[in-house]
Amino acid sequence: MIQVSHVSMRFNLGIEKINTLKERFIKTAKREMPKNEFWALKDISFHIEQGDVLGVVGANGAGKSTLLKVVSGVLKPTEGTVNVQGKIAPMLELGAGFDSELTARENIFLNGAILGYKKKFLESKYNEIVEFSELQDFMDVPVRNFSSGMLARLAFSISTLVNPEVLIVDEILSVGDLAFQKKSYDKMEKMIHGGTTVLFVSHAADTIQKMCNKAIWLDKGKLIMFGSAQEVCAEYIQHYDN
Amino acid sequence: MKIVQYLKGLGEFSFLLQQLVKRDFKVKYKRSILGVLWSVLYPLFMMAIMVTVFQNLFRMTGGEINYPVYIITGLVLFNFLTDATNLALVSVIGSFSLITKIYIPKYIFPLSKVLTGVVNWFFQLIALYGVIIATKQPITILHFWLLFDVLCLFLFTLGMGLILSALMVFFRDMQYLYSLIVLAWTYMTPIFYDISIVGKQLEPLFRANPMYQYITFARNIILYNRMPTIQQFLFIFIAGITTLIVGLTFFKKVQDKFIYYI
Repeated sequence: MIQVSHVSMRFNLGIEKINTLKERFIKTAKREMPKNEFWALKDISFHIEQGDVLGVVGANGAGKSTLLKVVSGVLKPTEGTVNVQGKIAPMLELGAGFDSELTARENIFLNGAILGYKKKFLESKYNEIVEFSELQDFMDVPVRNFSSGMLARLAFSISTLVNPEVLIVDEILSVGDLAFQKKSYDKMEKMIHGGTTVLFVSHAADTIQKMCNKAIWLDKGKLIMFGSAQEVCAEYIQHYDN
Repeated sequence: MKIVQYLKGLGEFSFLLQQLVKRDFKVKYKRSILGVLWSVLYPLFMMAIMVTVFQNLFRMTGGEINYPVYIITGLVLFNFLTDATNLALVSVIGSFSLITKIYIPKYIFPLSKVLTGVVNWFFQLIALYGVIIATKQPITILHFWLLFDVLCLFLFTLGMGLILSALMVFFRDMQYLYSLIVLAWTYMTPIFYDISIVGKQLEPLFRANPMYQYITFARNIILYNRMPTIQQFLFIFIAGITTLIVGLTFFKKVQDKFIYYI
């Protein structure tokens, strides 16, 4: 179950750019500490149940990724509260947790640890991960020699290791070759049927219509519409067709 | 206590810590030919250079004491501080790609770097004992108290690492500033000279330097076969625990702002 109530997220655009003492000193001396506030999310509230698959649609900069970060606990909302029940598994972007110098085998354990898995568990699932990624022959190769497709396979195989209670997917499924894409979709479907709650970000409304039962439409940080995936996507597509 | 609660997740992340330290260790030595041996050779060469320079050029002999052991004791302890804090300094900014994607208690990053420093330091310890044995300096039962010294130094270094890693997020100048601070700190710590040469006026100031106390504690045991005094025990412990508490408090207070300074 995920309960998001009155969540707002403010970024201070000015402060972000002042990174050195010199800049800070000059700006303070000139009384120019900029206060450009930017609300990435504004008063967002929604509620989904265990097993729901929520699609998040919206144009670039609508706040989709920020919403996922607030839900996964990476960002603390400026206002409002988020209540998530169950273990969250974020699907890390292409090798975010990988170290390029380490071999694929070593990275499985490193990345698994980052995702919060225990050693025994990873050892018992190791073969399964390797098999799913289809990278049996490359386990002792440093991942700096991997192609982005191979990295994606490895990353996907690790993050979908268990059936987490909440899975967060940020446009990751568009990588890899067609055969692997198909395999990834199948695995996601299986997880969804197994009762996993999924938050899924995509620009492609048709993918969301296909995979999700609920959808949320964001525009410039505001919630435009929340409801069944069919309705929201239909409205969304119509809005951009006109 | 709030800080105790803050550290509650530590057990849960022990495997992650282990993996991060292992990663750093492997990556550090992966492409060098002599590999781990460097960590033993480095303090030995540093000591050899210092002994040569100060004994021959400046006619410093240290009187009756075993000068090579005098130097390497100071070096090995000071190197732990500089190596570990330099790693910790960039630990948070180096992990931004993870911090923005997944929730991990952020203190894990400086902590893992200081632990990496401990692992690397074991090789320096080999160098220290190599010199002790080679110069026929006796090893006594008192050496067990060195563990206490190292533990307190660890707490001190961890506290420093937490403060530095957080400051680095807000001011990238810290990297340059800190290397200057370390340089000044090195010369203000009696590593190759005796504290008496700084004069009566400055001596109390030099004694307040925690690094001087950590080094003196170890020298009392290794060089003079003397039990450190109660005051010394208290000083090194209080310096360690206070720095750690200050570091944790500061880090916890500012950690939620990190994400705006990427």
